[in-house]
Order: sequence, then C-alpha cells, then structure tokens
Amino acid sequence: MNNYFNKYVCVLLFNYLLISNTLSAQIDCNKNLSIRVIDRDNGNELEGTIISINETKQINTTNEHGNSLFNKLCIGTYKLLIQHLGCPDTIISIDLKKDYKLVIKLPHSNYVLSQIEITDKQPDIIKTQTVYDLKEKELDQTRGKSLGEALKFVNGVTTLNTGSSISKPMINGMQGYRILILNNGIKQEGQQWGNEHAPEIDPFIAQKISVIKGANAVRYGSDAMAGVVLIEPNNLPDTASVTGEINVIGFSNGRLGVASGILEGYFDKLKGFSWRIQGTVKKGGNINSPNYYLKNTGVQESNFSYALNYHRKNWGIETYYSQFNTKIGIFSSAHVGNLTDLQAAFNSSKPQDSLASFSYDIARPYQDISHELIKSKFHLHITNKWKAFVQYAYQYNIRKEYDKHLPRNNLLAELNKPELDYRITSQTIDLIIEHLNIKSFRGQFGGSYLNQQNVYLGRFFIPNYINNSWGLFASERFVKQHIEVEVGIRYDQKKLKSFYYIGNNLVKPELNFNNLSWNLGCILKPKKNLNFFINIGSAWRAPAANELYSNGLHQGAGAIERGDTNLKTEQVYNITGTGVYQLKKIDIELTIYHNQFTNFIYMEPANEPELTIRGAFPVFNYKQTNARISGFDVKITNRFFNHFQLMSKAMILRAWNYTANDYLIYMPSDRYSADLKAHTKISKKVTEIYIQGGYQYITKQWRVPVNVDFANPPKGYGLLNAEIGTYLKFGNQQLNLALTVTNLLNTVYRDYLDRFRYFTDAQGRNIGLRIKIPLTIYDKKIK
Amino acid sequence: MKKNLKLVLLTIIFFTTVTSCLKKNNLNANVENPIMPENENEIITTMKLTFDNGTTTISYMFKDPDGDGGLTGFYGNLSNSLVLQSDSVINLQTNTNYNVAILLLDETKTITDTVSNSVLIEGKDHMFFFNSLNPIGNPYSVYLTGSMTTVTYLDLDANLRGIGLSTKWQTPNMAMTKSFLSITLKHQPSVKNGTFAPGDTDIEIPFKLKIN
Repeated sequence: MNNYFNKYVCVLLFNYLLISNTLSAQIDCNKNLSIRVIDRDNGNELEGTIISINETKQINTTNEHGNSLFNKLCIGTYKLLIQHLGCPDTIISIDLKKDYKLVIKLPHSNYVLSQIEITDKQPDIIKTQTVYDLKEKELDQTRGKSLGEALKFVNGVTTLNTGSSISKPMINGMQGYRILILNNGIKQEGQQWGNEHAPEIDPFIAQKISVIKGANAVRYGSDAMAGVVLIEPNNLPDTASVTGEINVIGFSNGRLGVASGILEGYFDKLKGFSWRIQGTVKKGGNINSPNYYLKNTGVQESNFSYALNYHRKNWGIETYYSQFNTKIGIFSSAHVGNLTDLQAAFNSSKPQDSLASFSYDIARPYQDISHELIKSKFHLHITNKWKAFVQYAYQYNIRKEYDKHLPRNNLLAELNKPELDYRITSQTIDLIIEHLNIKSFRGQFGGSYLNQQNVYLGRFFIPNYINNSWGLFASERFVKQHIEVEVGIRYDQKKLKSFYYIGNNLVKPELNFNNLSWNLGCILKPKKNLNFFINIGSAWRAPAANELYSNGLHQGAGAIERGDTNLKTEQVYNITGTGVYQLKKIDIELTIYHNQFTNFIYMEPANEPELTIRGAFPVFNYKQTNARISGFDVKITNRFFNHFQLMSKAMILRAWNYTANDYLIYMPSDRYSADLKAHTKISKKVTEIYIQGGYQYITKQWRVPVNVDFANPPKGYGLLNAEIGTYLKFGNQQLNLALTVTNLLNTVYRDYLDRFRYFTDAQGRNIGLRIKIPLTIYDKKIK
Repeated sequence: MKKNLKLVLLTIIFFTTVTSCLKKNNLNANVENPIMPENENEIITTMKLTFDNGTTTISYMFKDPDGDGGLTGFYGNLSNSLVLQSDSVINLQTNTNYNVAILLLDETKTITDTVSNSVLIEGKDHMFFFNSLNPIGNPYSVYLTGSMTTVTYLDLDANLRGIGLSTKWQTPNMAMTKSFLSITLKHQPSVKNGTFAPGDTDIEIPFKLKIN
C-alpha cells in the first residue's frame, strides 16, 4: 500500500550535490545551475522537460541527455517549475549560493507503465496564443477586489464600470459577449448583455487567473472573439492531508470587509477521494468620492463552493458545486428618468444625493443576483497516449433588478417586486479526446452541446428564448525544440427560438446560425530567452436575444433600446503577435494585435429622442458595421541593485467604425503606468519584505464619435498607489500581510469607461489591509 | 466501515450532479408562454387636459398607446371629436380664466382605468408641476413667465399641499407667442414637500402655450 502511495504521487524527488563551497561577500551573478532530469525508475534521461525559473523568467528545455544549463544567475532563492508530459507541474525552491548541479528524478515511467492517474493536465504546455497568468504573489495583490478589477492587473485588460462595484472585464477594448469566461472549466452563462451586468464569479475560488488574448474560438467556442478568461482552482491534493487558507481583507473606503476561507484534503484511509470546501462573505457600504459620499453604493456578497473527486488508476470522477449571491446598490443619483432629469444631472457639479452620509443600507435601485454551477466530469486514460474526458454542467442564474422608480400605485409599490426579473438555465456537455506526443504531434478533438432557456417574470425587455447549440473541433500541434506550430478548426451551429408578444399576439421566431472558425498558431524560439508567439484566427458569434429583440426602456441605462431582427452573424479575423525577450536585468514583453470585424454589432443613438408619457428618452438602435480594433500592450521589467524592480506598462488602442467613418464608442484610452518595488529577504522566517509605489496615467479619450454621447469624455487623470507588505514563513507555507493605498492623493477624477461618470466623481482614497493565513492541519508529506 | 464511507462519498458525488439549491420560479410563466407584457403593473397611456372658460370647453391630449417604450406617443386635440395634432400647441384666449382638469387613463386595460382617481386618493404622494416650478403663496400658484399666465392649484392633499389635477389658469390681457410648457407628474412617496426635486417622474409632457 505504501508503495502504491509513493507511486500515486508524482512528487518530484531530487538530490542536489554541492560542487563548490565558496562564499562570496558581494553580489555575485555568475553562478551556474545545471540540471539533469532522469527517469526515477529506469534511469533513462528525459528529453523535453521544460524548466522555468520564476524569478528570472528563464525557460530551458532539457536536451536528448536530459541536461539543461542556466548560467549567470545571481545568488538568491529561486523557484523552479518542472514540467514534463505525464507529470503534474512541480515547483521546487533552491537557495543558490554556489554553482549547483541538480539531479531531478521523475517517476515518469510509473505513469506510463501503470497508467496511474495523476492529475488532469492538458497536453499543451505553452499555448501559441498570448497568455497572461495571475497567480501567487500577483494574485495575492488582487484579493478583495471583484473579478473585473482583479483582471486589470493584466496589461491590455480594462473594465467597463458602473461605479466601483460593477466591473465588466474588457480585453483589448472588447467586452460582454465577445469575451468568454471559463469558471473551473465551464463557460459562464449568465445575463451578459447589460453594460451593468458583471460576471457572477467569486474570484476567491481561483488560485490562478489567466487571460488568453485574441480570437480563440476553436477550443472554447464561438464567442471567444476578444479573448478568454480562465478561473482555475488548484488541483485537489493527492497526498493524505488537510490544508487550507484564510484571507481577510478590509478597505477604508466603503468600510468594506471580505473574508474567505478554503479547506481541502485527501483522505488517508480512503484512497482516491479528495475534497475542498470554500466560502466568501463580503459587505461594504456607501463609498466616498474625495468630496462626498455616494448614496446607496453598498454591496453584499455570500458565496460558497465545494468539490469532491474520486480517482482510480486510470479514470477519475470530479464533482463541483458553486453558488454566488450578491446584492449591489446602484448609486441613486445615477438612476435617472427622462432626458430632463439626465440634463439636470449633467449640469449639476454635485449629484443630487451628495449630502448622504455613510450607511451599509441598500435601498432601491439595486440588483439582486444569484448564480449556481453544478459540474461533473469523468475522465479516462484510454492508452498511455490517449485520454478522454466528458463533462456536464448545469447553471442557473437569477437576475432581479429593482428600479428606483416605484410603481405609481402605492399598493403595487408595497409588494416591492423587481421591475426586471430573469431566470436563465444552461446545460452543457463537452467531450474531449486528447493525445500526447505521437512523434512530434499532440492534439485535441471534441464536441460540445448547449441547451439554454431564458424566462422573464417582470417587465419585458428581452424575450423568453430557447438556445440550442453544438460544435465540433479538432486541433493538432507540431512540437520541436525551436518551433511549435498549431492548426485548429471548428464548426458550430446555433438555433435560437424566441417567444414574445407583439401587441397581444405571441410570436415565435426561430433563427439558425452556423459557421466555421479556424486558427493557425506558431511559437518560434530562436534563442532560449527569446520567444515569439504568433496566432491568426477567426471567430464569430450569433446576434444575442437582446440585440435582436429588445424593445423598451432599459432603466439601468436610462435609454430606450431597440433590437433589429435582421442582424447577421458577427465575424472577426484576428492576428496577435507577442515577443518575450528575457535578459538578466530586463524583461520585455510586447503584444501587437489587429481585429478586423465584419457585421460588428453596436448600439447607435437615434437622431431624435423618443417622447413617451414619462418624457423624452434617448433611443439606441442595434446596428452592424465593419470595424477594426487594433493596438499594442508593452511591459518592461527592469531589475537593479538586486533588490529593486521597476515595471513599466503601456497600452495603446485604436478602433474605427468603417460605415459611420468615425471612431467606435466606449473604447479604452491610452494608458501608462510605472511601479517601483524594493524587496529584500530578512531571515529564513521573513522571506520577503517589500515596499511598492506606482503611478498610472489614463489619457483623455478624445477618439469618440461626434455628437453621440450624453456628455463629453472626462479629462485624463493620474493615480498614485502604494503598498507595503511581507511574507512570513510558517512551516512550508507563507503568511502574507500587506497594507495598500489606492488613489493616495485623493484625486478627483472621472473615468471615460465608468457609466457613473455622468453623475459623480469616482472613488477617493482607499486604504486596505490584507492578511492571508495558510493552514496546515495535517500533512503526511511533512511528517 | 470503510466500504460504507466510500459508498456515502460516491452517493454525494452522484447527488451533487442532480441537485440544485437555488429556488426555482414557481410562477406560471414558462419559456414557451411568456407573461403578457405589463399585465400587472398599471401604466399611464393618456393624459387629457380640459380647459373650461365657463362658456366653451376645449381639450388637448397626449397619448402613448403602450406606455414608455414600444410605440411612440402623439398629440391630439378634442374640439368635438378627436383630431390628431401634428404639434403640441395649446391655444388659449387673452384675459380669460380657465378651469383646467387633468384626466389620466390606462387604455391598455379591457375596461379603461382612470388612473387620475388613484392619484387623487394617493394625493399626498403625488403632485403635478408646470414648467418644473415650485408653487408659492396661498393658495399655491405658479407664474409661467413665457405666457404671462398664472396657474393656481385648486385641489389640496391631506397635508394641505397642492395636487394639480384641478387648476385655474389666468391668461394675460395681451396675445403671447408660443412658449414652452411642460406638465410633470411626480411620484413622491413620503418625500412630498411641495417642491419639484424629490421623487420620480411618472409623466412629463412638453407642450407649447399660445395666447391669442
């Protein structure tokens, strides 16, 4: 049994031999680290193991003798990531004082021979698309923020905000339907259509958040036009243990508190079972801008999830459940009625309700949202190179929106019913077959099916509908040391049947869409520290129910929105190229992209407002145009004096509407930031102490269509942020403590991509305190 | 024992995939039979203004057949029968006192609902405003500068604040060209204080007033 246990865990066993024993007094950056990877069981040298050093971003691949050499390393602690097909990614730390020769013994053949199930790894080690990960320390810095705000740490991601509590992520200027969010492997299906509808996901479930930029429809389905966001929990433990983590965060602005806990384990007595429970609570009150409180801007959230997995030798079954519940107050002065009210709001320097004080109470208008996800997944190793998995997911989403405007009749008003009330149920099935290296090829094939039903219970805005979609895809990749090439193709079909009334007559239009998507990707590695990623792809999406059929007053937007039943499929051709150059003191990362759209769906304001019994309202019609969105993101990291790091970022974006011969509306303006960090290790216990200061400048967006917006874009602004923190070692885990300040100077500003900019200044200074406590209740590995 | 526990855990795995915790809708709406639009919330489709100078009665109206959104609203006047009006001009005579009554209807219902009745009943939560002006004095009145017309509130709520369903309009003794006139009904539940600012707008119709 013990033997089985040892084999089960694809733990990396390593022994390192000391070669020299000279201590150097000054900073020495001339150390060599040579690594040899061999098969633990048969002693074969393992070729093609990828070894990356976290701190220096160096990546090497072992040669045919299993050898790899890193040179010119400075003295210090490094984290090595060891990746080899058939083993889970493994991280080891080494304290490099001298030249090291490291021998890594991987239990590689174990896996191949006995087909012991290890973890569910996809065969692609590096994607040909441009991928940005937020994990470990970077992820720590996002804790307490909403998913959208957390994603802003990735260069090229901005958000479309409705105040500080509703953030919709925008990748390279594209948002909503054009972004696909995968929550633990499942495509998030909520009510994505509104600009004030944020993704219904608790970011605390993730131990890693990744952003894949560019069209990526082949693997993920038709809507992945601008990019994909992956929310990934850690793999469940596979050794007998019970561990966990507690995060507690407090913010001064809005007196917001967040607490989140996670506990996971593997049963010692019951082989094969692993589990996790996780929960988050959040409560905040009225936030304040530098000069006044914003009435009714509180937020409440309570989420939980659990997972239970069962693994056998060559198959496994995983179940996952998560529930997300939130109640978000909408700033009452921003919920306006007709054009007269809107004009009055624009013309006043302070919002009407600016005399409010602090309160946790949430009154009308507000949103009340629940989202539930049930997932179960079965996977099977067919042979040692072929693996299949099938997963089923059920999602149920309730969205209730309470308008500020109560029904005129007091009896109806007392019922306090939501004005908008939607229930959407989605069921998906995915089947994927993948193969590891067959000669130099690896690949994936599969299919997916979605059934979705939307029902409204309140006022009509978007119709009831049934959406049935399916897709088939195939993707193959050719892998050599200096080049990787990937080709993928996918076919999708979508059937949308809607149900709504015209007058008193029920109509049931049915629409069919189908399309082919493809991508062609390539990684060039001319040098070990120089990589180029190039991806060309196409993607499409069918017009959504609101774009086709909405017809009414969108109270949350203060406008009448009209769909167009004749809308056609929106198509994009995307090319994204990224270069990564890593030197000892500097890393350069540059991404250039271009998106060419045909039938880009957008809202165009009508020339005349529409007169209703409640006054005149602006009217927006859904239209299609040919458009382009292109730009580049650059990030340069300088390291100097061993303890300092300067990270500079720039994001430049241009978008054009060919039909109107004008700019596209609501695109992020150019922005620049610089962050200087000083960090040092104090002792074995205090592994890091750091202080960080950053400045971000957002330029004014003057590239806007003429005479379209309610108000002119606000001027550019700069924000100063700071953070001081430490990592303390407890056992083999790290406790993190940090004090943060955003908008340090309490700058008064309004952001172009914040819908509240029409009505109020944005959030003022915000001081945060963050504590992350790791827990090890029991771990057999440590004993 | 171990076997049993294993069975229990596998059962949990199974049931996780078939149980949902959130409350489902138990209402009679289903996806193929959406609920009829606006069948619960009353709406206001029509506002009628009747000007009575003691000898003749003229009526003007604004009608939004399905409330806000959907079909566009339009103006009409009513001398004897309804005539569609291309503009929004109300024509009054010089130096005349008019008693003005406002009638609100919901004509989407099978039996037309007279909404103004419930406005009167809930008078302390509702108020009409003319050109968004705060009425002053006793009795409550506003002076419309452009048309030199004084509008006096004739109806009062329980707190002795004006409602505006019934008003008296006093026109000047000289002809005036068209000037802007807006009529607004505000819903001010427990915040009504006789001024325009608080509450929400239930009705807002722009007209033009001409004194001949």
